[in-house]
Amino acid sequence: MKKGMMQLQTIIYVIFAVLILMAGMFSVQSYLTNLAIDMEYELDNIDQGILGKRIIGSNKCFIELHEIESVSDEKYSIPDYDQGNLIKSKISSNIDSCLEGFPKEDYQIKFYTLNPKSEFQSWGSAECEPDMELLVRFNDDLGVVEVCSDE
Amino acid sequence: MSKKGISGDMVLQIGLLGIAAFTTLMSVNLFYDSVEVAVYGDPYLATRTMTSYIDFAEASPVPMKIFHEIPQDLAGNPGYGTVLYNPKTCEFKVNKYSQDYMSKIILDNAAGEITLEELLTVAAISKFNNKFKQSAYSQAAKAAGITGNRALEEAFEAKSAREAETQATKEARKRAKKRALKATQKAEVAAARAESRVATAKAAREAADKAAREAPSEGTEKAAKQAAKRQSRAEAAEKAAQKATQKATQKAEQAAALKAKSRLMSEAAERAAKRPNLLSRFGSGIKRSVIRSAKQWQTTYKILGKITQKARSRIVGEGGERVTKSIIRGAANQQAMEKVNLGCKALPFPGNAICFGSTAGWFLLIYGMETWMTYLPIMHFIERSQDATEAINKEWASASCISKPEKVVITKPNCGSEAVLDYPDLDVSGSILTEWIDYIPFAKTLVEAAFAMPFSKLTPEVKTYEGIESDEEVCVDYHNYLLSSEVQGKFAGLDGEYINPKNVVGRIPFGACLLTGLSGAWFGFSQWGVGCTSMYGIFYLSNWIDPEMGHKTKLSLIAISSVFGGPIGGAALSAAFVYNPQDSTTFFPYISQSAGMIDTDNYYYMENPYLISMSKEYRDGEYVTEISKEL
Repeated sequence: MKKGMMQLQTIIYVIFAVLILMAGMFSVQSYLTNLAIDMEYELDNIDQGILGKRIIGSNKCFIELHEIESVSDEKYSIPDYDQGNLIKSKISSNIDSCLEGFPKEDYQIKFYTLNPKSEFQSWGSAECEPDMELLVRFNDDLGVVEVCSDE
Repeated sequence: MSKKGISGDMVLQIGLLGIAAFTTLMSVNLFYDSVEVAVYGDPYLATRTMTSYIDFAEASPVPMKIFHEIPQDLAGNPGYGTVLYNPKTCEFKVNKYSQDYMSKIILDNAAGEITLEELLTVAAISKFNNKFKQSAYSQAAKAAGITGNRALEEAFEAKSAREAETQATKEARKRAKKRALKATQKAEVAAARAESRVATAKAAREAADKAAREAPSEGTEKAAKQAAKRQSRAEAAEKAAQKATQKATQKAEQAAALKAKSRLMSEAAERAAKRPNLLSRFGSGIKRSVIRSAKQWQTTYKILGKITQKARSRIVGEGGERVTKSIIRGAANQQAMEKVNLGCKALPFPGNAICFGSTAGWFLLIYGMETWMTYLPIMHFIERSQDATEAINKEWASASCISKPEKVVITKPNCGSEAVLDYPDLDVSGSILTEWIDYIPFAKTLVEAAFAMPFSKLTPEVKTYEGIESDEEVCVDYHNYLLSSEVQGKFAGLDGEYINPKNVVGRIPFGACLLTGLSGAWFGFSQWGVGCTSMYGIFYLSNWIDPEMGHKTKLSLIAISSVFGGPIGGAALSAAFVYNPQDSTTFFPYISQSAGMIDTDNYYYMENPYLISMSKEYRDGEYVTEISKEL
C-alpha cells in the first residue's frame, strides 16, 4: 500500500461511520418522538368514584353526621358517621344538590329497596346499563343504588 | 510497531471514542424525548388528579388531607413549573414552565441572535476599553503610590459592590421595620383594651360580691336575688375580659412572630437585591461554575466578562440600535431630498418629470435599504417572540372540579408583582470611543433606555383573590407581570381580541410609508417617504424606551409625524401609534402576544411545586377547603 493510504482509509471509514450513525440516530429519534401514544386513562371511573362517595358517605347528601362527646373532664367531640346507612327522606330532598356538577343527561341513578326489590327514587335521564351497584342500608333494611353513565 | 501503524490506530481510536460519545449523548437525548410524558406525567392527568382530590375531600363528611406529589425530571426539576387554581370555577391549570421562565423564553427567543460581526465589534471595543482602563488605573496607582494594577481594580470593584449591598439592606430593613412596627402597635392597643376590660370586670365583681354579702343582713329576699344576679353577671364579664386578655396575648405573640418573619423577609430581600436581577432565577449553578472557572483564569476573566456584558447589551438592544441608526440615516436623506425636490420643481417639463421619477427611484432604494436593515429585523423580532408564545401556549392543560367548594383557604398567599426595566450598564466612562456620550444631554440615558429590557419583579404586598381566604401575612410566589392581564390594556377602546401586532406595528405603518413615498414623488414631495420611514423608527423606539410616556410627548410625536411623514404616512403612523401600547413595559408583552397569557386576577399561582396538599378542614365551626403548596 502506498505510504499514507492507510490513514486516509481509516479517516474516511470513521467519517462515514459517524455520518451513517448520525443519520440513523436522527431517523429513530424523529420517528419515536413523533409517535402519538394512545393512552386511555378511563377518567370517567374517577367521576363515578366521586359519585359513589357522595351517595354512600357525604354529609351533604344522604347520611347523618353525629358527634361523639367525651365523658371525661376535658371536653371534646369528634364527628362520626355510619357510611352506607342512608336516610330515605334525605334522598328525595337532597338528591339534586347532592349530585350537583354531574350532568343529568349523562347519568342515571336508581335507588331500590330489597326484599322485595322496588325502585323508589331515580335521578338522571341517560339510558344505559348499570356500571356500578352500591349495597346500602335504610336503617335495618338493605337496599341497592344502581349507577350508570353513558359518558 | 511502525510509525505509520500507530498513526492509523490513533485516528481509529479517536473516531471510535467520538462515535461512542456521540451515541451516548444521543441515546440520553432520545430516551429523554421519548419518555418525557412518562417522566413528567401527562399534564391533563395531573390536573384531573388534583381536581378529583378536591372532589373526594369535598364529599367526605369528616376532615381529610390528600397529598399530591409532582413528578420530577432526571435533574430533579418539578414536572409543572406553573400550577394555577381558580377558586370561582375550581379549575386547575398547569404548564411545564414557571412564569418567569416563560417570560425569559419569549425574550430570549425574540432577541437570541447575535452575528459574528457584532461579536467581533464588541470584542474589539472591550479590548480597547480594557487597555484604556488599565492604563488609567496605572496612572492613578502611580499618583497614589500604589503598585499593582489588579489590587487597585479589585479595590474599586469591592467598593461599588459594598455600596450596592448597603443600599439594598437599607431598603429591605426599612420595609420590614415598618410592618413589624404596625403589628406591634396593633397588639399593644389590643392589650391595653383587654386590660381595661379586666379592671372594669374586676370592679363590677367586687361590687357584686359586696352586695351579695350585704343582702342577707338586710333580710330582703328581693335584694338577695338582685345581688346574686349581679354577681353572676360580673363573673361572666370577668371571664369575657380574661378571654380578651388571652386573645390580646396571642395577638402580641403573632406580632412578635411577624417581626421575626419580617426580619427573615428583610434578609431574603437583601439576598435577592444582591443577586443580578434578570439572571438570578436561572442558571445560577451554571453562572457559579463559570465564575469559578473564570477565577482560575484571572487574566481572561475581565475581558470575557466585558465581552459577555456587551454582547448581552447588543442582543437585548438589537431593535433599539437598528432603529437609532435608521433615524440618523433618515434625517440626512430627508434633508437632501427636500433640496433635490426644490431643484426638480424649478425644471421645465419633461425635465421635472424625469427628476421626480429619479427621486422616486432614490426613495425606493432608501426604502429597500430600510426594509432590509430596520423593518425586517423588527418583524423577525416580533415573529420569533410570537412563535415562543405559541409554543408555550401549547403546553397548557386544565381541568375543573365537579364540586364547587364554598370556602377556599390558602396557606401561602401570592405576592404582588410589577414591571421594571433592566437597564444595562454601558460603562462608557474612561473610553475615548464612547466618552463623548457624557457630554450630550440625555444621550446616555437614551442609549441605555434603547438597550433596556422589561422584566417582572415581586412586590411584598399580599395579592388577594376573590373566593380565596388567607390569614398569612408573608407571601411567596408571584405572577409574572409581563404575562398578566394587567399589561394587556385597552387598544383604542377595543377589549380582548386585537389586531396582530405584526400588522399594526409593522406592515400597515411601514406599507403606508411606501405609499407616501411614491405618491409624494408624484406631487413633488418625495421627502415625505423618507420622513415617514424615519418617523416609523422614532415611534417604534419611543414605544420601546419610554417607561411612562406623557400626554404632551404623545401629541408632539403625532404632530411631528404629520409634518415629516406627509398626510398619508403621518395619519397611518399616528393611528398605529395610538392603537399600540405606548410604554416599554407593556410594548414587549403586546408584540409577543404574551400579555394576558395568565389571568392574574382570578388564578392563584404555585411556582415550581414539589408537593401540594388538598384538604377539608374544620375551622371556626365550618368546613373549608384548604390548598397548600407544601414544598
